[in-house]
Amino acid sequence: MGYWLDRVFIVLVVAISAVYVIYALGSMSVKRRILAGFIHCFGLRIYTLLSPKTMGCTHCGVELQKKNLIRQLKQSGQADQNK
Amino acid sequence: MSRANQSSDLPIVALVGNPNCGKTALFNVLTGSRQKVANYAGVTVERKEGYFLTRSDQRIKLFDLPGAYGLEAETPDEQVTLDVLRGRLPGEQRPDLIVSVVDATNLRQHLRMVLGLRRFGIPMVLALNMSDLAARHGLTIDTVSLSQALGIPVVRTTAIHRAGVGDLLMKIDEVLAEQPVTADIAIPVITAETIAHDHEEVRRILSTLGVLDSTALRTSDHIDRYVLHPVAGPMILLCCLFVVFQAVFIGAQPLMEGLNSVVESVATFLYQRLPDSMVRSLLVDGVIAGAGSVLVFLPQIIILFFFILMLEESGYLPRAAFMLDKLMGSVGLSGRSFIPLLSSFACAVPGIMATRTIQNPRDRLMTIMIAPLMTCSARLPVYALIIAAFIPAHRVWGGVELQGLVLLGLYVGGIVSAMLVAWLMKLTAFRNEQHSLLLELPAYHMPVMRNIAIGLWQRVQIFVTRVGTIILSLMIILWFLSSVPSPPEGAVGPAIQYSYAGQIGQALSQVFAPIGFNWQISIALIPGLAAREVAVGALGTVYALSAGTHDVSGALTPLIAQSWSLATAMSLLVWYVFAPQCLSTLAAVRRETNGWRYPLIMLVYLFGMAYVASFITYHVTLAWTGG
Repeated sequence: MGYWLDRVFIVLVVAISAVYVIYALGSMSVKRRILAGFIHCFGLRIYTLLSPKTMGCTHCGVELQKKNLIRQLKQSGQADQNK
Repeated sequence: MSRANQSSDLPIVALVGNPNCGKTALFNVLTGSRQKVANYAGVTVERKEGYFLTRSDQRIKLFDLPGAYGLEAETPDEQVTLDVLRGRLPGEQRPDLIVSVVDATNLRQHLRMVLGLRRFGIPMVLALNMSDLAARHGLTIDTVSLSQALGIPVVRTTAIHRAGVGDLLMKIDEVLAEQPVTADIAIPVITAETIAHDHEEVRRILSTLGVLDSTALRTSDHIDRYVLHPVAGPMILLCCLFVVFQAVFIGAQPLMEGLNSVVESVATFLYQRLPDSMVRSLLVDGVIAGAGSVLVFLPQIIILFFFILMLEESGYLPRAAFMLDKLMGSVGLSGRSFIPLLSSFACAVPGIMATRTIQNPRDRLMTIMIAPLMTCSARLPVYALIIAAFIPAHRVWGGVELQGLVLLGLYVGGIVSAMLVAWLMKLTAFRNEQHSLLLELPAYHMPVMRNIAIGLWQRVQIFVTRVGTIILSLMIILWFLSSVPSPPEGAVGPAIQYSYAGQIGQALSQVFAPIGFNWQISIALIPGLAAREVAVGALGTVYALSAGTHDVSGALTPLIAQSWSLATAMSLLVWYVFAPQCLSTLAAVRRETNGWRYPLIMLVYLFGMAYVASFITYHVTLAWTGG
């Protein structure tokens, strides 16, 4: 039993890491799809709970775009919930 | 009538002014934000937004616009400012109020912009910033007379000390409540006549204020006699750089040892408490050995940025740009390239974005192409690891730390190679005449510790976040690839050799063998493409799985000292001076040049240079050491 729990845990951790690496290195459209997929699967509340504040290099255009993207997704998610 | 913008709930206020007048400092104070502030022009190249409450609890949307010397929009960042003021930026409303920020110590230049802004017909408040500095220089500016002369309210502020902000908030409230909304704004046409008229008007206003003939030699001018001296100036610059790199090694050592012992203790604790399983291997060999190996370099990053931020804050960096202008001009670079190239020492991505301040498209492209050759902070862990393993911690020439000297050499190597590439580009693809440098030299001032602390905190956040996110994720994937499949029955040698990562590393080592890289290094180069410092973590994981030890974060330095030859170590150092080991940089180049052509050219030329330089270094060192 412990052996299989071990394996399931490892597969989960590796899968999450792989998705994160794709998200981090992907283009804005890839990021958008992954974020939208996450919000679709887990809901906006869970996403808002988990999403870190945008920080990092404040001159970095990618950070600014990501911030705008997250805001748009939050707004669109909010709009869906209000329907 | 509500002041709110028609399609938005909140009134919009824009901070506008010449570069380096303190807009971002004021933005930070008003919004509680922590945007980068520095004592040189061109720090803000995009519009930033934040929110604040006025004295009457009215919520306001605030734009921090890139600095502009005029409304002629000669550079891409100035175009952003003009587009926002005209309401032509897609998806944005025009501002309801402009806070025109001026440097009180340099009214002659800054008031011209104020007169230009007045023509838009947007309600305006003047923030007379750096008032404390003006007072120290003996400049007494009568705000009532200035307000009457300009026809707009004037508030004295000192943004870096948060002085005058209350008055500014009150004025914003008053103006938003009093001034009527204008449906259409005027789009001023800039002609030679309007510019001449503005110059005359500025002279008249300064004359009225009695500050026209204030020509007293300032403290900054006295300091500049030495700092900008043709002989003493470059010596002072070299001394500054020398002190910085000595401090990086000498000062960081105790802190690194402390951090290292914490990482080792955690690894030992987990190794002893957890049963022998894949989870234990993941935590100890993947997470701790990988991410922990990178984390221990945090003190060096903090010390490096402490000195860079001190130089930024003091106002010294534009002087360095001024001194290097002749050298940069001789290799075909514009003096305006200095700030983007300087930003690239932190990270090439903001450096490439900062090229928006360069007016000439060819100069801009040339600066973008050489920006990755500046030594970014992500290279520091790689350099520090190899230097600590192969360069003895000896003192030479009467107490100079040899390791610090080698580090300085690597940074200088990056600069020299960038200059060489620029010179080659000038001779071939980027033939162009040299442009003169027009650079505003700000007054020196004592670094504000709050800004230094904010800057350092941001660097710590960036570094720790990278370690906890992308580096950690890559280490987990690398650990997985290094652990499966299990070795076959009767296999000899470490299990990693039979894993996917081991097989990839051995295949790649055929390509990298001529430059002295073994299969472990070849594996580390792949995740290192995501971010350079990942290579250190990858080496930690690979050697942890190869050696079967659990405290690799501390043992990595002696491990590579035993496993690699000096020629291999020197070859890897040189590889990291040139190789484009960062996908984010290539993505930024693609975005800034609107296509794949230049990122691909950059990829090919940097990899080519890295391979050739490493090959030469490896074989010369082999011959020298008799290997």
